[in-house]
Amino acid sequence: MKFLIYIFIILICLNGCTPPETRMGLDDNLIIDTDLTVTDLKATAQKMSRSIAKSKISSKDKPLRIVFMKVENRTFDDTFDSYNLLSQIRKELIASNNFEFIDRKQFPEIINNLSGSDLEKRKEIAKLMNVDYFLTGRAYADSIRKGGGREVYYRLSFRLTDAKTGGIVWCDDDEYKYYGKYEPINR
Amino acid sequence: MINKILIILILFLLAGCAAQIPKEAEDAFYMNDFGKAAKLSRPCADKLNRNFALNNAKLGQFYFTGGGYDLAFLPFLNAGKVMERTVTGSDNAFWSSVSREDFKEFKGEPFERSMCHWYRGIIHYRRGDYEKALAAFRRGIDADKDTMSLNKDDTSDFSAGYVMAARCNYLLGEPDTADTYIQKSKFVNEIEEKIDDTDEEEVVVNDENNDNYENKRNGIDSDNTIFIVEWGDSPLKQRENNIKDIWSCSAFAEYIPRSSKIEYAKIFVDGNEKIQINRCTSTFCQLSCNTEKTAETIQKIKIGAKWTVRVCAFAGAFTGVLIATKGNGAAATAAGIGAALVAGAAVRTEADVRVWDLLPEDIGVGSLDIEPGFHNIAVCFYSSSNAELPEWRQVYYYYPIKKDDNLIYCRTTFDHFGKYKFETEEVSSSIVDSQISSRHYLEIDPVDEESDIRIIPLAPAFWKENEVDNLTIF
Repeated sequence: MKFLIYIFIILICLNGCTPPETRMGLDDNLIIDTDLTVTDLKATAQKMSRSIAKSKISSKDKPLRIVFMKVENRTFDDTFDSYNLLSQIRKELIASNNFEFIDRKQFPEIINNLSGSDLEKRKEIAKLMNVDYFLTGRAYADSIRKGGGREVYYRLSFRLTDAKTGGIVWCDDDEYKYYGKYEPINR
Repeated sequence: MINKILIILILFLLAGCAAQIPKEAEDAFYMNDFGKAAKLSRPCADKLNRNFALNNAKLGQFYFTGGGYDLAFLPFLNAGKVMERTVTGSDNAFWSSVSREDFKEFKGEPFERSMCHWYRGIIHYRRGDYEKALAAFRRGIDADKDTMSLNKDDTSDFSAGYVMAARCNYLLGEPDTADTYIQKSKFVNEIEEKIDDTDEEEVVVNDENNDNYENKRNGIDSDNTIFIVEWGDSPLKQRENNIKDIWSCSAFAEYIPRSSKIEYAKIFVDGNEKIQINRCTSTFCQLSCNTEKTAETIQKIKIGAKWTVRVCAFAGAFTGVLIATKGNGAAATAAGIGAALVAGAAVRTEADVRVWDLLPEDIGVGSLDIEPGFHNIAVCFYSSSNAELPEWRQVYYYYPIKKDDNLIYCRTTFDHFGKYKFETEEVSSSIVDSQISSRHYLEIDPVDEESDIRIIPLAPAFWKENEVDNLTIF
């Protein structure tokens, strides 16, 4: 009988080992791999929006009209959500009252796929929509692996391009570095 | 004391319960019954256990080979995430240190990780999302960097990944980066010989200008059709010297090749021989050349620890039983020996032989510029003595070639039960009708009702929700 009770207690303990769901702070991370975390992207968005707001293009006379272009994904992550990053920057900039964003849905599909060399088309669209700047970016990652460890370097760079001249009027970047190594138990 | 020993043994048993994809599912896969394979394996793949990554990788492959690219994406993503995760997600990981090695979470060898990303890259590529495809191919290359087969710590020899990453870079308008990938790829050392007569001149030019990047690209940058051909079966993994005895020290695993007769493939377009596709990546080389020293050292330490635990368990159980029975008589000694044997057997030292064994043996990548329109495309396979192996021939009748970009993926694995993916001979509609009715292929509406043209999607259209890519028209 004692034996059965022991087993019963152990089984209950095993079931109880699973922690219940807990609320985490927004800036707390459960780092399990070397991918960028939501907190990183949030911090980058805040940094970029502050940088744009402080730049020389920021004018208090009239809000500047900006259009999102795309963030080129050159990371290792094929599920990288660049739109989320841009929308966070947008939120921060709109809050500063100096910027106005044009809904990308109003644009022809072509604008989403324009590359940097399509300047003439961009100018045309800019004139049509009264756009001041295009906001574009690039997420880049490179890695080194050695002895079971993996070091990953990330660079998230953004730039504002003058819609009329094609000149880059502002650019900034944010960098992160991660190191991950398989636990010895998993080697 | 006996009770406690029994409890420990029960815990061992509990820790050992984690289902793998059943053999019936793999058999169904080899018999082209992708639906059955997926149905049988899905319950296993859904369970969060230490085999989660392996089960999902296999499920993804069932979908992928059957043309269910959208369905395959999530299992491959799940598997890739777990394999790349540096921390363990399994509560049983501790037991792998003192008992069976396969109690730990399956994370695969570097090349298995690569293949998860490789297939995801192909899925993105087929969707025309070259940016995501590039990310996945780059990750595949990155995951394979530990292999050190090139005597460089930080270099991958996953040349198929390099070629496809280069292709994506070219399509994204980044030729400089693409050239770097081409340079890294072993593919440039095995430049496929353009054997079409009209290209003879070009082959000579290539040989003379070997240092010129334009030629090293070998059409990967400009051709409108990419061929990815996979053949054979990846190696099996077994305990060293195939020792199955639980008392042995068979703590290391070895890979057993399952070499197919196929040495290379040739592509025929409308009956004309166009290109030869050589082996670009070999799974046997990839899997068996993982010479990562740290992992080997850790394995040796683990084995030492396990043997220590085993001896302690053996001695502890023996002493415990003797104390419990107060050492009275031969029966007590026999009980002690019995308990010791059971406790010793519970601490096992066998190597982890889990492997993603549904992968191909070789991967070849080639490119070709084909006039847009419908073409009969045949992929023929040859032995090392240059004899054609007609049983493997795959023919895509009236394949629709687009102007800009096409990806033709071809996999031959299906020799296990004497059945093949496609028929070898020129087919008449009645023969194909009978074949189709006996298999699970789906018919779709004819493209042109006025003519006699009828489109019948073959295996890749097995999953309804996908656009067909292999078509037969009569």
